Amino acid sequence: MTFLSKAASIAAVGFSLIGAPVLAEGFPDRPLEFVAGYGPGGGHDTMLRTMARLMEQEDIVDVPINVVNKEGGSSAVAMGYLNARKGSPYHLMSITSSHIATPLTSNIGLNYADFTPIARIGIDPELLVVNASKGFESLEDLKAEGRMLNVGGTATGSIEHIVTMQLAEKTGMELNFIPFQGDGEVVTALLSNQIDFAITNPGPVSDYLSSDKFKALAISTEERVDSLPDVPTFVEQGADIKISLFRGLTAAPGISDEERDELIAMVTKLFETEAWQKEYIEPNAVVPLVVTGQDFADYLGETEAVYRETLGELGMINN
Amino acid sequence: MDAINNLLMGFGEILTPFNIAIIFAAGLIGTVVGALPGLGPSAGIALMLPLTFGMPEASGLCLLTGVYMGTMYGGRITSILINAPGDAPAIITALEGYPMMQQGRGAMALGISAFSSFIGGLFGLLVLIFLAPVIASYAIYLGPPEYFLLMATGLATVMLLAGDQIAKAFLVTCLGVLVSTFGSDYVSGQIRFAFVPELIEGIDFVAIIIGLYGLGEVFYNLEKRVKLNLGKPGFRMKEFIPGKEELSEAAAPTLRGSILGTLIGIVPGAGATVATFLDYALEKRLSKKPETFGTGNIAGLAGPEATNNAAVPGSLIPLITLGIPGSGGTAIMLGALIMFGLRPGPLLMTTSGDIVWAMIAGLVLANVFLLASNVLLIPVFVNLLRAVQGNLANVVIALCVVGAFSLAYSPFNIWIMLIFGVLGYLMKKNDYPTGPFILAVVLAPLAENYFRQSVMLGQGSARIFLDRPISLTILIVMALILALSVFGQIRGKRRARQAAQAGE
Amino acid sequence: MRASELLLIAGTAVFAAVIGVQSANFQYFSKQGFGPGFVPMNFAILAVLLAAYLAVKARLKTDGPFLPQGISERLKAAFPAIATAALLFGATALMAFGSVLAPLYAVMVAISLAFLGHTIARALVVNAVTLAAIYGIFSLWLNIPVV
Repeated sequence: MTFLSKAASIAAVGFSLIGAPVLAEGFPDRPLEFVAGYGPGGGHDTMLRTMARLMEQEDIVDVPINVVNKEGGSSAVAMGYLNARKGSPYHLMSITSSHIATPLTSNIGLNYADFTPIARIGIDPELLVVNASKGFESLEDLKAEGRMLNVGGTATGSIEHIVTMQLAEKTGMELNFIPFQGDGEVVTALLSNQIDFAITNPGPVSDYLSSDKFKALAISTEERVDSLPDVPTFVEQGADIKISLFRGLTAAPGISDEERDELIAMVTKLFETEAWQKEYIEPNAVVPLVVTGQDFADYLGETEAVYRETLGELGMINN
Repeated sequence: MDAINNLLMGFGEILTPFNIAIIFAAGLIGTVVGALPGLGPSAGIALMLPLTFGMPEASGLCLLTGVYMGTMYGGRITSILINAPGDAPAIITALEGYPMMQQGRGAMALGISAFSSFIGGLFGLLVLIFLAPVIASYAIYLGPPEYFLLMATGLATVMLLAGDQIAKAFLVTCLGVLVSTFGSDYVSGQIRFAFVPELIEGIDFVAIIIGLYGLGEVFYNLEKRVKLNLGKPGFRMKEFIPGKEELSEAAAPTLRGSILGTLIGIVPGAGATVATFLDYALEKRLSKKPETFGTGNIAGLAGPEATNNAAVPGSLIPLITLGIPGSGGTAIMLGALIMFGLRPGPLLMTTSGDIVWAMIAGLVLANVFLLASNVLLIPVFVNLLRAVQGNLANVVIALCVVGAFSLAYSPFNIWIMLIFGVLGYLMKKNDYPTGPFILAVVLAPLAENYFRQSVMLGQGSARIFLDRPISLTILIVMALILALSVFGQIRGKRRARQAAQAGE
Repeated sequence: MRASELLLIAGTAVFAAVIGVQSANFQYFSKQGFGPGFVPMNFAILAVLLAAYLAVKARLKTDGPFLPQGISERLKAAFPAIATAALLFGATALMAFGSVLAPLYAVMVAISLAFLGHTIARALVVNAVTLAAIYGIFSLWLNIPVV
C-alpha cells in the first residue's frame, strides 16, 4: 500500500503534477461526458454534478460537461457503456468498490484493467462504532465480552463485511455479521442496541459521534486521520486491518498516454481548488488521499486481490 | 408550544412573494412530472436542482419540497385517467379511480382524490410538526422482526384482494414472488437469475406496473374495440368539484386513511405501500357494499389516497430527526439537504432548525397550493384526455414506451414493460387479480430479507420474535384478529344453517 | 378452457420451472436460517403445483374438450391485441439502432390505420403531433435523451 506513505493529499497532488505535460492547448476541444453508474440524486451522480459545476465555475474547462446516468447492474451497465466508447478521451466515469466487486460476483466480461484508471479522489475509512451507553472503550473491552457479538453493516460481501471477517480472524472474536440495507438501518439498529457494534463509514455516524451518543473504537486507515484524531487505528490495537472504500475516476479503454495525462492534469487541478474541498470533500467526510494514473491502477489491483480472497471464502466469486 | 413558535418562525422565513411564487410553480411542475408514467420525485428534483444553485437555502428547499409534494399529487392523475400508476402506493388509486373514469366520472375521481390527498398530507404534516421527536424516539426500537411481521400482514391482504378466486390469486402471488427474486440479494451477497447485466439490480418495478396496467389495458381495449365517449371538452365546474354527497361518503375513509398512513408510513422501505393496501382492506371490511370495490367505490378511492399522502410526512420524520431516509423520495431529499450544506443527522434540528422549520412551513404551504392547483388542473387534464380520446391507444402506448425508456435511458426496460404488458392483458382477459401479484413483487423481497435478518439477529434462533416486546405484541394482535375472524365465520355459517333449517 | 388462460397458466409454469431449476445453484439453507435458494425454489414448486391444479380444475369443470376449440376464430377476435404486441416487440428490437421514436411512430401509424379507423393523412399527422409533444416534454424539457 504505497499510496498511504505519501503524506497529505495536497502534497501528493503536487507530486504527481511534476513532470506532467503542460495542458495541451485546446483540450478538451469537445463537450465532456461524465458517466454515473447510478441514478440521479445518488452519491455518484451528486459527485459528478458537483465536479462538472466546479470545473466550469473555476474555469478549468471551457466546454460544456454533460452528466449522464447509466444506472443498472451495480455499475455493470455503465461499464458496458464506457467500454463501447473505446479510444474516446471525452468520457469519465465515477467508480467505487462496485467497480471491483461487480466483475467478480457476476459474469460481465469486463474488469477495472480494461479501462484507463485516472485518479482516486479519496477514501472513506471504515470505523468500528459502539453505542456509548454500553461503556466499551477499546477493542479489548469487546473481546472481554466473551460471547458471540452481533455486528451490523451493509450487504454480505461489502467492505464492512470484509473488515468484520478480518477482525474475527485477527483477534479471535466470535462475530455474527448482519447485513442491513443501507447505512440508515445500521444506525437505527445501533441506536436501539439491536446490534453490539457497527462497521460503517464516518459520514452516517459523524453527528452521533460528536454528540457522544456513539463512540468509535477503531479506524481502518494506516495512520490516524485529521478529522478524527482521537480514534485509534485497528493496527495500533494489534489487528492488522487496512482497507477502505475508495472513490475514483476512470476513462474509456484504449486512449493514448498523452490523453490520459491530460485528463489527470485536468482533474488534479480541480482537486487543488478550495471550492472542491469546501463543497465536496468536507460535507461528505471523505479523506482526500489522491493517487493518479499508474499508482491508482496498482491500488485497484491490490484492492481486487483482497476482494478476490474474501469473496472467494464466501463462495461469491462467479467467474 | 415550541412547535407553533418554530412553525411561525418558519412561515416568517418563507412568506416572501418570491418564495410563494416558487412553491406554487414547483408544485405545478411536480404535478406534471409526476403525472408522466415512469417519472417520479427523483426526475422532478433532478430537473429542478440546477435552478437552485445560487438561491438562498430556504428558497431552494422550498422549490425542491414543492416539486416532491407535487409529484405525489401528480401520480394519481395517470392512475385514474389511463390506468398507469407511477408507483406502488398509487395502484389502489388506479384500481378504483380508473373504473370511475370509464364510467365518465374521471373528473370526480380526480376531485375526490385531490381532497383526500390534501387531508392526508395535512394530517401527516401536523403529526410531523408536533410529534416528530416523540415518534422518532420510539421508532428506533422497531427492527427487522417487527418489519417482517408488518410485511407478512401486508401480504395477508392478498386474501382480501383475491375475491372468490383463491387459487388464481395464489398462482399470481407465487409468480410475483418469483419475479421479485431477480437480482442481487444483499443478505447473502449472491446475484440471482441475472441472465443479462441489466438484471443484476432486479427487474425495475415501475416498468412492471407501467406494462401490467397501462399497456395491458391498451391491448385489452384494442381487442374489445372499446370506444371512449367522454363528450366534448367542457368546463362545467360541477363536474370537477365533489358535492356534499361525495364528500360525506369520502370523509370517514379519508380520516381513517390519514391515521393509518402516518403511523405505518414511518416504516422504511414499503411503509406507504403496506399502509395503502391495509387501508383498502379495512375499507372493504367496513363497507356495506364490499362487492362494489373494484368498480369505482368512493371510499376505496378516498381512504388509500389519504393514506398514501399521509405517509409522505411520516417518512420525513426519520429523515429530519435521525438523518435516515425511509423511502426513495426521502433519499433524494437527503441528497438535497447535503447539497445545501446542511448535515442531516440527530443534530439537524439544533444546528439548522430555522431552515428545517422553513422547509416544513414550505410543505404546509405547498400542500394548500397543490389542492388549489390540482382542482384547477382537473379540467385541463380531463379535457386533454377528451381531446385525444380518438387516438388514446397510441397516446398511452407512446407514453408507456418513452416512460419505460426514461427509467434507465435504455430500451431494456421497454422489453420488460412489453412482457408485463402481455401478462397484464392475459390476466385481465381471464379475470386473474393483479393486486396480489404487485403486492408480492413489492413485499416478498422485504419479508424475505427481514425474516433472515431477524434470525441472524437471534444468532440462528427464531425465538427473537417472542423475546422482543413489540414483535410479541404484534403477534398477539394478529392472532386475535385471526381468531376473531375465524370465529365470526363459523358463527355466521352456523346461523345461516340454522336459518336454512328454520325455513324448511 | 380458453386458449389465453392456458397460455397464461402454461407460461407461468414454464417460467417457474426455469427459476426452480436455476435456483438449485444457490444454497437452500445457509449457516443461519434459509439461503438465497430457499424462496425461489419453494415458490417455483408451489407455482407449478397451483398451475397444474388450475388446469385440472378447468378440465373437470367444463364438459367440452380440454383443449381450446375454434382457435382460428378466437385468434381473429384477439388479433388487434396480438398484432399490437407483435408490432411493439419488433419496434423495440429496431430501437437497438439508436432511435426510440422512429420505430414507435411506425407502430402508432399502423395501429391508427388498422384498428382505430383513421385515414392515412389523419394517422400520419395525429401521431406526429403526439410524438412531437412527447419529445418536447421528455427530451427538450426534462433533458431525457430520447430520440
